Amino acid sequence: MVDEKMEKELIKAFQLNDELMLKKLYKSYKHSFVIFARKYPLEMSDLDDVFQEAFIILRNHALSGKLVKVKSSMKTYLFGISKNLIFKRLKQNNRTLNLPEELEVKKTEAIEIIDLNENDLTDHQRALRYYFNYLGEKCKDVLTLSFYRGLTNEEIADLRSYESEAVVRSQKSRCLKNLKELIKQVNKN
Amino acid sequence: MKEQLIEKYFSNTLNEDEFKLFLELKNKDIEFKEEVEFQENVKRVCKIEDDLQFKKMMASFEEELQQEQKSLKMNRNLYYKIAVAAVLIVSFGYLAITVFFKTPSNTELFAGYFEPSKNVSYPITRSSSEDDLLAEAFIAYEDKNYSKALTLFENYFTATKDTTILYYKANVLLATDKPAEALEVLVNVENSSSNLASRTHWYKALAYLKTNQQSEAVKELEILLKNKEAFKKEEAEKLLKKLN
Repeated sequence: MVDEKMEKELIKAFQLNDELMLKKLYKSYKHSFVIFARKYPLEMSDLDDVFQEAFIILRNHALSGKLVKVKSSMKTYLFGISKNLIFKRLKQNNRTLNLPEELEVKKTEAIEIIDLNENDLTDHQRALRYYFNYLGEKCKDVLTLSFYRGLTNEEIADLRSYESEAVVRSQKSRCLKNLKELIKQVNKN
Repeated sequence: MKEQLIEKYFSNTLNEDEFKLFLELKNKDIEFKEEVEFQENVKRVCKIEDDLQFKKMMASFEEELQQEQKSLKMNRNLYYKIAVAAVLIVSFGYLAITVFFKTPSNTELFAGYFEPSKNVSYPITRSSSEDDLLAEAFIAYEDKNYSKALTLFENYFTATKDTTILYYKANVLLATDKPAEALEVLVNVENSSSNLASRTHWYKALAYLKTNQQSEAVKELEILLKNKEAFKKEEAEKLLKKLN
C-alpha cells in the first residue's frame, strides 16, 4: 500500500529542494529503474537520459500538485512516466513492432510526458527571462518558491526566515515591480 | 483585493465565488488581465530557470552514483584479485607441504629402495639340462618377464631343492607386488643353509614395509646392520632414519 505520509514528504522534498533527500531518492529510484528498464531494447546511455527526463517530469508533477491526486506510489508513477518515454524513443527508432505484450504501454498507464522547456518559450517570455536574471538572488528565490515550487507565503517565511508571511508578500510584489521596471527601462532606451 | 485574488489563483486556492470574480475581472479589467498574464509568464520563466538548476543537481547525483559504482567495481576487482592470490598461496603452500615436507608413505619408500637382486649365485653355463632351465629362468628374470621366471624358478626348486633359488623367487614376488608371499619364501631362505640367508633381512624389511608393518621392518633393518656383510648397509641406515 502507498504510505501517504511518506509520499507527502517526498513531494515536500521537491518543493524545498531538499538536496540530501532528493539524492537518496534519485539513487534508490535509479537502481530500481536500471533493473526495470534493461529489458527494453535501448542503449544504456539512452536509458540514463530517459531516467533523468522522467525524474524532471516527476518533479514538475509533484510541484504542480498533480501527484496529490495520484493513487499509486511515487516510484510506480515514475516508472509509468519512464515507460512512456521509452515507448516514445522506441517509436522514433521504429522498434516497437516486436515488443512483447507485457512491455507495451497500457492506456491506463498513459501519463502526460510533455515537459515544456526553454525551446517552447515565446519571444516575450524569452525577454522576460533575460531580465529575470538581472534580479537579485533573493528576488529570484522568492518568486521561484512562490510561483513554481508552490509554497505558500507562510512556508516561504519559515524556510527563508522572513519575519512573517506579510513580509514575504511585500517582498514578492516588490520583486515583480522591479522586474517590470527593468523591462520598462529597456523599452525606453 | 485584486492582488490577493491573483495570489490565490496561482496557489490554486480560489473558491468558486472567487474564481467567478477572477474570470470576470480578467475579461473586463485590462490591467488585471495584463497582471495575470505577466505573472503567468514569470511562472514560466521561474520553471525554466529552476529546472535548469535542478538538472545540474541531478547531474551531480548521477556523477556521484557513477563514481560509487566505479569504486564498487574496483573493490570487487580488488577482492577478486585478493581471492585469487589467496587461493594461489594456499595451493602453493599445500603443494610445498605435500611435496617437500610430507613423510613418504611406506609404498613410496618401498618403491624407492627395492631393486630386484642381481644374479650373484648361478654362473650361467649350458652344461646340463638343469643348467639350461636355470639359464632360461635368469634370462626371463633379467628381462623382467617375472611370470615366466616364477614358473621356471619353481620348476628348478622342485627339481633341485636348492633354497638359494627361492631368494630369487622372493624377489620376483616382491617385484610383482606380492609382499606377503615373498615374506613366507624369504623366511624359508633365512632358515636355510643358503649363503644368501643373511641378505634376506633386507628384503624382509622391504616386504614388511610394503605390508605396512613398519616396526617389523625396523627390526629386520637392525638385524641387517649387525651383519658382518656390507650388503645394503648404507641403504639400510638411510631407510632406518626415515622410519624412525
